[in-house]
Amino acid sequence: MILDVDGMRVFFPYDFIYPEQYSYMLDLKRALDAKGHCLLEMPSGTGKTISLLSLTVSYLLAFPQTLSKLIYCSRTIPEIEKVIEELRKLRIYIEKETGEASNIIGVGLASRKHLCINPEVSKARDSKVIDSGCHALTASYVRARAQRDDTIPQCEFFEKFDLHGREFPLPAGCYNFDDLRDFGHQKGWCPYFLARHAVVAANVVVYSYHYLLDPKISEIVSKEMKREACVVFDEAHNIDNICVDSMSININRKILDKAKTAITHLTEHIQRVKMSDSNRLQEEYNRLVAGLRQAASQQDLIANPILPKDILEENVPGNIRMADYFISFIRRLVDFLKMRLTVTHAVQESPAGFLKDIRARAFIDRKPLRFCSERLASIVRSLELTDVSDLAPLVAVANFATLVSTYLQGFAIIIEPFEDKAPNIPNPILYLRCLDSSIAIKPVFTKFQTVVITSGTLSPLDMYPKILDFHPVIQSSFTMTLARPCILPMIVTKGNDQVSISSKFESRDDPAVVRNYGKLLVEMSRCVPDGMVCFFTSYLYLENVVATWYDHGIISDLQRHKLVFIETQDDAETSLALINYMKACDRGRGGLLLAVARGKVSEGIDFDHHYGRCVIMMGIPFMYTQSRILKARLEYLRDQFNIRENDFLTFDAMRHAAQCVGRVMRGKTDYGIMLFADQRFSRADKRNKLPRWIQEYLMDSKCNLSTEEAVQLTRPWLRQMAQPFTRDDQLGVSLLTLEQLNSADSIAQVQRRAQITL
Amino acid sequence: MSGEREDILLQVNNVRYKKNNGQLYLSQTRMGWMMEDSDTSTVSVLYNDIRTQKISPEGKPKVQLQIVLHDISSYTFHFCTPEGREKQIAERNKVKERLSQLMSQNRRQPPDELMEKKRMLDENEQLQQLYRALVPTSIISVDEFWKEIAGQYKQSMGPQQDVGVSGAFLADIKPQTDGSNGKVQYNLTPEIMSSVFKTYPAVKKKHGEYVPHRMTESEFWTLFFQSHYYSVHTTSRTENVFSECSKYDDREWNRDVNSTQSDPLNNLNDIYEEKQLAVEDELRVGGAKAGSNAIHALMIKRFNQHNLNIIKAQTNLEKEKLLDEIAAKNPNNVPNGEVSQEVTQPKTKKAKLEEKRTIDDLENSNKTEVSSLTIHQRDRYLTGPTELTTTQSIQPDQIMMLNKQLTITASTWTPSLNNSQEPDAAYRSLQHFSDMCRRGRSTIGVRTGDQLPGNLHKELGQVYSSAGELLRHFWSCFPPRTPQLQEKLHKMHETLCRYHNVTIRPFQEMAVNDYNCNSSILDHLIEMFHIANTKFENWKARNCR
Repeated sequence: MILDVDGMRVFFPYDFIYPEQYSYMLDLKRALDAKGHCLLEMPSGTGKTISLLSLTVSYLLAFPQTLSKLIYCSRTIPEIEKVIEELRKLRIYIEKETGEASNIIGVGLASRKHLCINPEVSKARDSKVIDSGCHALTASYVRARAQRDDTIPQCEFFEKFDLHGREFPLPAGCYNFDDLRDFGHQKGWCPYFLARHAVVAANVVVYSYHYLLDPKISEIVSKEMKREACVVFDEAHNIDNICVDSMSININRKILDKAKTAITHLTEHIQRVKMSDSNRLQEEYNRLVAGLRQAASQQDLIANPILPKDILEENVPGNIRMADYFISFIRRLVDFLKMRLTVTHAVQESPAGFLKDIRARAFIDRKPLRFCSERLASIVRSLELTDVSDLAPLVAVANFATLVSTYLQGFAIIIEPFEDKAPNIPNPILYLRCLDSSIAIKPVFTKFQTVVITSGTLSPLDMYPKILDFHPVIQSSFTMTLARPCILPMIVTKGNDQVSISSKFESRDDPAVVRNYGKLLVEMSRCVPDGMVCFFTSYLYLENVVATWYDHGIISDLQRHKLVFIETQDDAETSLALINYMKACDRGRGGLLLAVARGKVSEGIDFDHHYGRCVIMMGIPFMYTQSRILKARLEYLRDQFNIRENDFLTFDAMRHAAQCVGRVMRGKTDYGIMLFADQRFSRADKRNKLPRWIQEYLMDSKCNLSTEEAVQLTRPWLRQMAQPFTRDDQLGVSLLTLEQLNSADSIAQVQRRAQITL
Repeated sequence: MSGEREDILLQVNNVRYKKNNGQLYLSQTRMGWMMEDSDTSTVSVLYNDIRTQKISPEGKPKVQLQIVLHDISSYTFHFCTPEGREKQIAERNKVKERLSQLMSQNRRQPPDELMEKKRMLDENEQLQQLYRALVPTSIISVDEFWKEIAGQYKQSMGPQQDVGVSGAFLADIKPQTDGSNGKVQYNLTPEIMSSVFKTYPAVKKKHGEYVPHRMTESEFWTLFFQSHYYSVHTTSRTENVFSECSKYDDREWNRDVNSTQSDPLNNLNDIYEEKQLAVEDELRVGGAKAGSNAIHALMIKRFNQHNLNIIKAQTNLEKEKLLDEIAAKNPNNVPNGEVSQEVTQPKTKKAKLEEKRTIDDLENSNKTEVSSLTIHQRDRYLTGPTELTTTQSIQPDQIMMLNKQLTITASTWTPSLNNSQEPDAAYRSLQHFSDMCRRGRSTIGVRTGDQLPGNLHKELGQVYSSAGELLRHFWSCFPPRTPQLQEKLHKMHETLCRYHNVTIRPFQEMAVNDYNCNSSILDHLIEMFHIANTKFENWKARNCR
């Protein structure tokens, strides 16, 4: 249908619309008009992607001078593909409605691993190998050499692209990775570079967060995006962690050893070059003296890890200009780090303290450290090295040096003698952690005119502006209008023997608690049909609980009703378990999947319809509170932003719990039970942090149940849900046609709902 | 119970039930117990209701036999002949064996075949009538009937479904500990054994190899229970029959794990974008599974394997059944290579994405029903009517003119009622037709149903249908190219003759005598028979030349 949102014509490719989709589009339009940022929470499974796309694309068509581009950032590769498919459908619809061919170009971008079509390079499965293989064929010096010397292999796809492809714009259409590869095959061009070239001109660009947030990558890829663009971060509930991770580096002894080897290789290489072609190094030296910076070309694999505004606009300091001096400088640095790693207890210090230490002991100043990455990149270029994957540890060290010397605020250095998970293996690690998530995302907020942060589980909403340091013009949370109560959230706080169940650390190993959890699972699997998913707070906890259950015979009880599949720490095994779980649900046997709350299953997989009729959250998925990194971060948040530790921890735990639980709904004909099995959920401070669309259906009577009562509630509800429910039942209430939408009172209702902000 | 004669197969005196002395007897379909001084049975149990029987262990002073029914209730009989304990034991064992025999007989008694046939006859009235008309009068033998005629009806019944393997079959073997010697007893039923074989083909193979030459059943199963299959904690390293099985299982597991790489939608390896030059792998010295208890991890892996195998057991069954069906449909064909591995086509990634993406209720589902076109002769359809090349070529403008003329004449044509046909010819043809009608009516005899009494009408219908069935089979034999068809033709001819004699003549006589009907009631049918007969004679004469 074609609707009217605040005076603008919007193409919506379906005939029916949910009321909350309309409200969402209204809010989004207002944010776009105001050219400000916004924060929107919309329940999962209500068609958020298509509302976003249709509104923004219609805005692009209606006001091309105000908004010229949509940048859609998503977290996982399957999600990117889904978005491109939605866009394709929208485009077809627009063409049909307007009658003329639409010239919207939509491109998805991913790493070389998904896009390379060169048969030799893409044979490898590992992305590092593919990257270095590509670099070996396409670096500028390699190509220069190949023009003189015919025996050096080149990538013909890249050559052809370089020759013709840059002038030839992509024809209008939507390109996901398969389409790009087909197009590349057809024309003989490299799809990866084609995509990178096309994102500048395309109307809609879909890629992963890193291409905008990670300074190392965003400089190369997203530098040329104009200001009149709308950036959307989808599934952004975890965005602060991603920002923090993109500027953090971890180094251990293995890396330092490998860095040492790389340095030796570099020295040998330099000697060789000195003997054969001493001009090159001399030229580089002259250039550095003159202060000419070589622009980061497209093929560079080594980029600066700091934000562009923090790069010093000065000359490279004298003591690292010559190649030999730089090598000895780096060697000293690596030795110093090795020395620091020989600790037997944990150490925490700020970057300033670290710099003071390195000055005192290794006589390394701050300024040359700041140019480390740049200098390394320049050396690699001059030496015309092609196999860059060996240099990865050295690059890590250089990045570390650059980061630690540039940012004195918002970072912490923590040295731990062993890993958290394996306390018996001595493995000292040096963590340079960014504590402030606003550092990485600040350029995005300043550069682009509208940034939309949206997800199904963003509550509490006011936490995000604080930790990301931005001011949204619109901040709202939508609920689901349902014609029948499709979700049944319940909080189970005790077992049948009145012992309260919880995943608290003190009571975790209590056999009564474990047995109650088991009984809860058995009772639910007895009455819930098809698939059930159960999330634990951590992997070790899952293992212990399963072992105890086996001894008590609970596993056999479970297996009597459903087939049990368990997530492991290995990705491939988990994929296999997942595939078989879905097979079991398809065949009617029913399956039970035991998974972990922060694992890949909870982030990437949807359990819609019969794959997930019930989801149980065993306990509250708090982060490992003893970790020093977390403590450093909490301290920083408390000092800078005045956020209490408890608040932040609860916020983080509840958003993960809500994220796990929200996997079960997809669309309004789907229904699911959401069971929160921990006594602490019933307390107000935790309950109020659940998203509004869950809280609406969580009545007080369902907040303090025992196992038996939960089963009592489930049975009639399931029976009610199994009744036939046609589209007509929904019309007017949760599903609207165009006429109903345009009727006066529904407009009034929508306006009213859209006004509610938190 | 009363009114039927029962044969008592075994009777044992001095059997106590609930402290009362009496007799225990076994008959064909049930077993019962009668108190000594009464005439009626106090306890009567059908074999179909019995789930298992149990005997008291060897050392106990009381010699008892317990019957457990499907609804968990049980009856315990105490053998107490005054002749001594050995006699009691002997009697009890005799009863036990006989009982198990009878139980298995009774369970097998509604075998698939008989029950199937009965069910088919019950469901299909037409089939039932045919059966009654043809078989008892030995016009057709029973096998022929089922082969030929009932063959068509079989297809309409749905696919037979096998019962799958229960998830907890291993757990259901509740071991009983004998408190005195610490022996643990496992009750193993054939169902459990077949579940184990279906789920773990490796064990089935081992069973075939080892039993009965190398070890007995009980030894095999004892080892099985000691192995890792039963107790997940076992990590015994002794050279065991089942350690090879575990290696085989591990290999299968690895193969399955690697096959997940090809599933684009559910492969969890690549969902996140990897950053360039990442050094994450170097960091984890302890490996991905650091910190987890190795035993627990092994146990979890075993769980996953177990459930995976249960699902595979089901798929294999379906695959075999599909292969059987394919083989049954064309028994004469040489199989054209291997059946493709995937029984159901794996959906392409695009289709899967499409499925994931669509929200059903937003879509407009106005799919119109399109009826498909079945074409039997594709060439004719594809090539279309051929042009006659004998027409002279006409110029295109001439064609246009002709077309215009045609449209004009067609639009302005009015039927001229005076000149359509000659009145004489019309009158003559009318007369001719009415003559034929009158003649037809008289020869065929009483056609209309309401002139016949009710059941005669029905019987006539039955006769017609059974005759028609036979005639259909007869005519389908022509032209008899293969020797089987010729044989069939001969047989059908004999059948028809028999039918004619057995059914049609008496029916006609009955109709005439009892109901005073026109004797020409079956003339049409007899004529059909005559035609068939002549055809057969002609064919025989031609072929025997």
